[in-house]
Amino acid sequence: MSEYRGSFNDGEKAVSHPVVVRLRMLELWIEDPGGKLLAIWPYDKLSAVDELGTAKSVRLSCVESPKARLVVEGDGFLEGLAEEAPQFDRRRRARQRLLRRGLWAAAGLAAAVVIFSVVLPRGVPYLARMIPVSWEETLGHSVLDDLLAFFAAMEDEDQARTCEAAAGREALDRLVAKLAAAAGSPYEYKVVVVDLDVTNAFALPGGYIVLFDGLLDFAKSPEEVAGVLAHEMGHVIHRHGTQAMLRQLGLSLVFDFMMGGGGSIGAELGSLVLALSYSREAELQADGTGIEILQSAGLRPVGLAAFFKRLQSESGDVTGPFQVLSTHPSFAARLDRLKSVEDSGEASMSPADWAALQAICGPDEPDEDQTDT
Amino acid sequence: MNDQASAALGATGGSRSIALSYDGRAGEIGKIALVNSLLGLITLGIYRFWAKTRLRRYLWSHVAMEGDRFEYTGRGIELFIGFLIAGVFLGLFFGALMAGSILLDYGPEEVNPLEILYLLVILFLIPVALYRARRYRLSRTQWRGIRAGQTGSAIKYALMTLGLQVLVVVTLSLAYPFYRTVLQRYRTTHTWFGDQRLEFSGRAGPMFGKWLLTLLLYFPTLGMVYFWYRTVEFRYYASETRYAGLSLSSNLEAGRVIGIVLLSGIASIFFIIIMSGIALTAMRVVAPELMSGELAADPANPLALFTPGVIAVYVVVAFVIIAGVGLIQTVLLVHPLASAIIDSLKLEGTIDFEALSQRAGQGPRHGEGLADAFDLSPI
Repeated sequence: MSEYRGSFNDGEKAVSHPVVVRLRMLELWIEDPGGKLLAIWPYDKLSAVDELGTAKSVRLSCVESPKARLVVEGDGFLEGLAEEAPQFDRRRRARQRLLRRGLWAAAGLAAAVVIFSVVLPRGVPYLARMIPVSWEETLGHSVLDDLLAFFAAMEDEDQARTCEAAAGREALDRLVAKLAAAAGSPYEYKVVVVDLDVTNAFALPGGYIVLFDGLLDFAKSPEEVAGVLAHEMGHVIHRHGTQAMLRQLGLSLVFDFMMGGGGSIGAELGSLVLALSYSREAELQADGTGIEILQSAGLRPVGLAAFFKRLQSESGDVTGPFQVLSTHPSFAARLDRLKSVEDSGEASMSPADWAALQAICGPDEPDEDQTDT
Repeated sequence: MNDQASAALGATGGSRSIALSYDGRAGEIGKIALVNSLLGLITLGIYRFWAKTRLRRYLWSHVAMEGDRFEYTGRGIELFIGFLIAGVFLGLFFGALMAGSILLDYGPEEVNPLEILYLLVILFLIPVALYRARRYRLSRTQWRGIRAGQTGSAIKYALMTLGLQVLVVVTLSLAYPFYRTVLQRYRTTHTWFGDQRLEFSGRAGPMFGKWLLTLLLYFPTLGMVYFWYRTVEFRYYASETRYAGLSLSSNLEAGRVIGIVLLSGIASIFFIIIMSGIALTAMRVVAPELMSGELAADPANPLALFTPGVIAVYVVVAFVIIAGVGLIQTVLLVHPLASAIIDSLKLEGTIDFEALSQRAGQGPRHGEGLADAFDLSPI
């Protein structure tokens, strides 16, 4: 029978008693140097206080007297103890550690899967629908202000140049009113034309739509502009902008938590990854709604398809100078869907209105592509 | 001297000197930090409460006094539950503030009263969080089975902190030693070990001249003099701290502290520079057109630049930098600082450990909630 030297704290007084520790059949006996028994600790009630293997001594506690501590110095004690109490066996501890870490990793992955494939995609649209339209309008307005300030800063100006030529404005308003009446949604659409050479348009929460002058220049017919506007209205109706903001908020919370507060890089990164993977479905949805709006307005719905076709032929798919639509599904896939739409209905605008709209940003540099549409 | 201390003096004769020692090893602590980072990243950060607990257990158990090691009895789940509770309250509060801010729709030029409220609440909650975190840590610290602890009120502490901060600002920082000393006194005199509390007799006066010198040398030394100030302050506060019949003292050297801070800072910066270089090289491979500047950022769609290759490089580099800086901070800052500080401490006087008993009560049930929510307790 082995015996070892150690020290014992009873957990009541800050005193260390020198003791002799004996490994008996089912228990560990703690005796004072005179041989008086101080405590009997059953092996199955023992646990190590510190991480084993990092200190020379072994410190033990026993659930039967949780405040008391036994410290045993010296070689061989841990090995001797492991023979009686399997929880101290080195291989078993290594196995348990591995298992524990594996479980952590699995739980982490499961949490990630749940957050990214259930909570965000299902919860965000649900939440977005709960938000009143008036809130969306305020939100959209403040985002629009920020964006205009950003565009102004990019061009080194005090204010972003928005285009308000009276005739063009009236023409645009007539088209928007026609589409809005057909859309029959609770939103009041406010279309802002920004004088930047960018072939794009986007929708903000609450009915704000931004059209860039570059898109008006690129468009060969009013049907193309009407198609893009109807598509953006589709985004507004499906609340895609509000969803994106909620998603970004949720993601930045997740990443902040992950990095312990310092996760701004991670947050941005995460929202970007998600913006990329989310928008495909949303674009198809907006395409569909856009076509419905055009059809119920009695307008020719082929503009959107024509617009994509030319974008595709000029930029190829996704890469190239027209990076604008790279978060969108490939043009080919969208064209496939749009091709089946029957081409019937009126022209979107009178030729005079169309000319006025194209001149909404004032006299442009001459563009020979625009001679005949 | 209080009655218990006199009793202890009566019970034993002879003055003694008790040293504290730290014998943690850089390799072991580095391994813990590395595993912690990896599990933290895999589990979306949830593991960090257990990670922190594991690191503390290691650090505490490698501090010894009178041949017996300290012990950290906190558990990861306690920190996690504390965080959840704090997170729910903070989330509701800040969510309401944020919604309010959006709905009130203040222009960029206007002052939003909700933002001021937000700032004030944060300023108030930070000291509350720090004080509560200290209470939790002390309640989970024991030696020879005897628990430490902290009494006092976190709200009172926070109000004192805010008031003193205003004073520091108004006096152009001249009141800084006063601010530090008053709070140190509050913390120290509300700290218990077993059934006896610490005493503190420090005053701001002796630190005042040193603070003036610090202000004078702050820019010439690029701020390094501040570490000298804190080291001198640490020695002074230690020398004014007593426990039962014992007086604390420290011979911590400012040179050593500054050396550790500089080395760990330089190592972190070098690591980040090297990783950024690797990241740039990798970016040139996965996105040559982006790096050559042929592709301009598009105002309408900044997302366009993020191809899967760019994102992959971004993710890997961000994770390696976070894990690497964590490792450097633990091995080159926390570990050597713990060693320098703890080995510098000595207790002298007379004490009867037989008269030192466990204090009743259990301490707080949950962890550092608020402090974790604000990321205020890295160790």
